[in-house]
Amino acid sequence: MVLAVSDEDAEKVGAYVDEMGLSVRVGAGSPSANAYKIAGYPSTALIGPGGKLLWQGHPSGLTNGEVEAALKGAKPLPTSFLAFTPTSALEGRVASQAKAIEQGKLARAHAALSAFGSDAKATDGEKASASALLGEVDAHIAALVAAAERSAKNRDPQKAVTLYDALAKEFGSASQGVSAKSAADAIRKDPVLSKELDAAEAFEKLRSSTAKLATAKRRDKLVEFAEKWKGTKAGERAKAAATPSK
Amino acid sequence: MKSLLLAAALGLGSLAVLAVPSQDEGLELGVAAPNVTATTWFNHLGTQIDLNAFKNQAVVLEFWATW
Repeated sequence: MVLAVSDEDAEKVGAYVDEMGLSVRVGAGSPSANAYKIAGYPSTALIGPGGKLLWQGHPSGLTNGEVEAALKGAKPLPTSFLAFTPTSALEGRVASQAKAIEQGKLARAHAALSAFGSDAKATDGEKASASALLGEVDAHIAALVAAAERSAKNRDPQKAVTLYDALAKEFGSASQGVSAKSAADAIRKDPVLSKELDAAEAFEKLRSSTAKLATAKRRDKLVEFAEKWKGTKAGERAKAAATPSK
Repeated sequence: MKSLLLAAALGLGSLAVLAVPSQDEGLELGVAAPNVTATTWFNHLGTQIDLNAFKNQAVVLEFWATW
């Protein structure tokens, strides 16, 4: 997995991401370069499974061999953002629920873990472990909802509805599913947010359809898009991306 | 390997031509990688990024700038 971070502000970084059509995860406003004591930009760190620093330096010095060695023992990146890797200690039958969580089956895990409390056959260790894991699931859901709320406030309703839709689908008629569905519906009914949503979807299409075009041609498309979707956040992003960076 | 190429492209794409790190800089290899934070993440859906969440993966971390 690739993470690229810059200490510059989100506006500048976002425009660059759009202009270049980058698809890797890019962070803005990051203070982390200090923690890694980098010598200058650009600088790369290679982190192996388990979180150990394996290599650091100018990216031109990083070889395929080093990356391949780091990939040994690495698991594929979870495809669903519902999935996460639990950190609490697992006792007995609780372990199979941790597996479900790693596959993003949160609703199933949530129901099963909740049932441990009243399970006469469960040991005290299993009950405590189930309760800790349940806490992790609840915290993960809360973080996803918080991210969705932040995105909606930030005029990024596309990210918000993607998160809410996934939660609604996963949890169905359970309370987490019902509240996610109503939040997604509210965004789609809101005249301002629904327009932003259309613009964001159109922008995504534009990004993928122009990814292979030459810079000048892509710029023309971005300008055209900015004009069409004037007043929306995606329109502003297109305009910023069309403005050449120094 | 695609991700590696992307990482290299990102690095080389920025115009900075700076000194090769001297031995005094950087962290000791083998230490626990410090966490990475950012105020805004692009191309990332879901919660804030926490390196702990990727402890099963290999991570290429690129420090870069638009200038």
